[in-house]
Amino acid sequence: MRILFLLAALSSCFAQSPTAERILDRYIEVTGGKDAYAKVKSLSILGTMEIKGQGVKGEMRMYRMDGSKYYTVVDLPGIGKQEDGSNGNVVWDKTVLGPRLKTGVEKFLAICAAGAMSEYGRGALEKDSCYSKAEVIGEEVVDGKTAYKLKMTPKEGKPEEQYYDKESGLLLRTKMVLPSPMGEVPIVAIVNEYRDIDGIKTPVKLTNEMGAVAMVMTFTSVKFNEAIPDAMFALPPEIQALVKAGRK
Amino acid sequence: MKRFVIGVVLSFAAYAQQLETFDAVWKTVADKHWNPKQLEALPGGGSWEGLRESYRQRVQAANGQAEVRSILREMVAKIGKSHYAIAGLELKGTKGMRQGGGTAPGFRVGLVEGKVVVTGLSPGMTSVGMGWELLGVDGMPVIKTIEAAETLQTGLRLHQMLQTQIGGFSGQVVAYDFVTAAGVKKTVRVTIPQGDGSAGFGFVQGMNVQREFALIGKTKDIGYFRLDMFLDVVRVLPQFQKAIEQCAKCRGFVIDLRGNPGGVAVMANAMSGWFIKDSDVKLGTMYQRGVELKFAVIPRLNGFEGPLAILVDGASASTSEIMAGGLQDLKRARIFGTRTAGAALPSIIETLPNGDLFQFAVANYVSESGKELEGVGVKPDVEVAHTLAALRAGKDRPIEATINWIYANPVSTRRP
Repeated sequence: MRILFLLAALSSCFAQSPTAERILDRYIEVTGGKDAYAKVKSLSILGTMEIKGQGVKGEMRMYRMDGSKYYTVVDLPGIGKQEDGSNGNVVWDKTVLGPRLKTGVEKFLAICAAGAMSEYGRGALEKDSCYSKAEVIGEEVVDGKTAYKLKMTPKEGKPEEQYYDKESGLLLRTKMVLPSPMGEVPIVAIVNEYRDIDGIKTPVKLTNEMGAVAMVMTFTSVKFNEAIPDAMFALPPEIQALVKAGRK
Repeated sequence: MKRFVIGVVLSFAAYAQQLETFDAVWKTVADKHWNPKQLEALPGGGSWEGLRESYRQRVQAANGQAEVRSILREMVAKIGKSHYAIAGLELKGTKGMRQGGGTAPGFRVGLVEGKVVVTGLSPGMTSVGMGWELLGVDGMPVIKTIEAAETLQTGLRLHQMLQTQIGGFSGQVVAYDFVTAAGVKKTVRVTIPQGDGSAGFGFVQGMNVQREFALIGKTKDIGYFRLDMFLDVVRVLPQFQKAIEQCAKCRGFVIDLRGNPGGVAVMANAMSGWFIKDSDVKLGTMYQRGVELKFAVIPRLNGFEGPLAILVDGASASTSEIMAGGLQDLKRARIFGTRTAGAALPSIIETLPNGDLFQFAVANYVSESGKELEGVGVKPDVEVAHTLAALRAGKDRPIEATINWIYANPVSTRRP
């Protein structure tokens, strides 16, 4: 009886939650490994964005390059082109509201997401990570799967919660609060589908829920290391004018 | 026997769909209404939860889609707010009322001193005169009263009814029966103009957005931009920018939102940016469940610094009220006309299981000064309405009031 009790106690020790670092490292391992991520210097994505349930769907193109360069354009019928970009130094967007330079926390978080494979290629926190802290704060059932819940604290901005499938190690969803001209917007980003692209299991369908609105992004083409001309990341004339005018 | 079985299966499918449609409407409101506490105490008594079973049973017993639609309309009306609507694919208007197309004929009408009269002319319209009384369209008398007594947004409802009656399809020839300013009966055949392309957003499509830029005033140095709907972002916003650029040396600027029922809300933010200099300025705040969004205005370079007047009336609604109310609260614009509709809630339109469209409000909106616009509207700084005498003399009193104010105030107003 005493021997059985001892064995039960020992097995419960081994069953303790892994550390946040281990969960983040495992995500990298199960999706392709650090070496595979390190080879990706640029990302070109073609797809669609749909405002769910409202009959609005348009083309989306995203380009990412190491050096914090990015450019995204979404063309929604009835609204037109909404653009978002960075030349590695100036971070901006051009939407229905007008052209704008991003500053402060908004700029920091935009740059964080701007690298070719962003944070998720880095595994556990390194000194140049956008996050200062990663903690496991529990487990939760998400979309029928038991997930580790991590609190990720960025160096600027509000903490976010990331949910990793206990069984597969894959990221299932992220809850975050992002700054915007309209104020702080709570967003739940759900990964609906992964696909193997050149040896890296890559999210190819995501749903962003913002209040009563859900936006579904579906990637029909994802290419790594495609040559992207520098002009793709050039500042549009309206943005150059804002920079020249010293606008913030 | 086979036909009977198929009939039973189809009936069951239709019946199941009726209940599915009810459940979709009821649950959407329960889950997405921005303030659950308001659902616990509805304006007419009872709660949203409390009315569920009785309405579900009525839909269960309903005989067809039209009856389901009617029951659901009655149910959502209990919420007591604007921007809740159930729309069928077929138009159903007041009995005996002409159902025209979505394109305006080149003139606008309104109810003035009890008569439906011409209140505005599009550029190039010369066969119709201001102040002419409209009696009928294509042989059908104009209906100018609302069947059910409505104390909410009467001006908006009436305006929509009148526009429906006078509208047509591009290229269609429509006969309008008038009494001219001189008291003479006259029938005018108008070819409905071609628009510059149809516009829409989501399930609202096929709209022909009328807009106009002109220089007005005795020395043609006041910019005037009229917009009849906040849609067609791709064309309207660049045209508005061009109007501002053309008006760099204007003495003042007038935005005419009379009869504008709203549309894409952020167009109000975008257009307002041309009149604002400071950062961190907002028109108001939208309150969704768990989320507050500022209706931020991004200041544009080389915006307009002179006096700004905005024209509104009882049919100016939603985005029109957000823009007029916000700029009024910021003391950037002076508002002229008559009180707006008080229908300012941000809303979404989704498809129901039976194919009908369900529009529902997803947020409350509070203007920058803290006022709720819903049910109240924007009260103009200068209340001025059309009169028959002025219209028949070819005058638009509200526009004249804006011109007089601008000429009397040559110094720029404060530009936040």
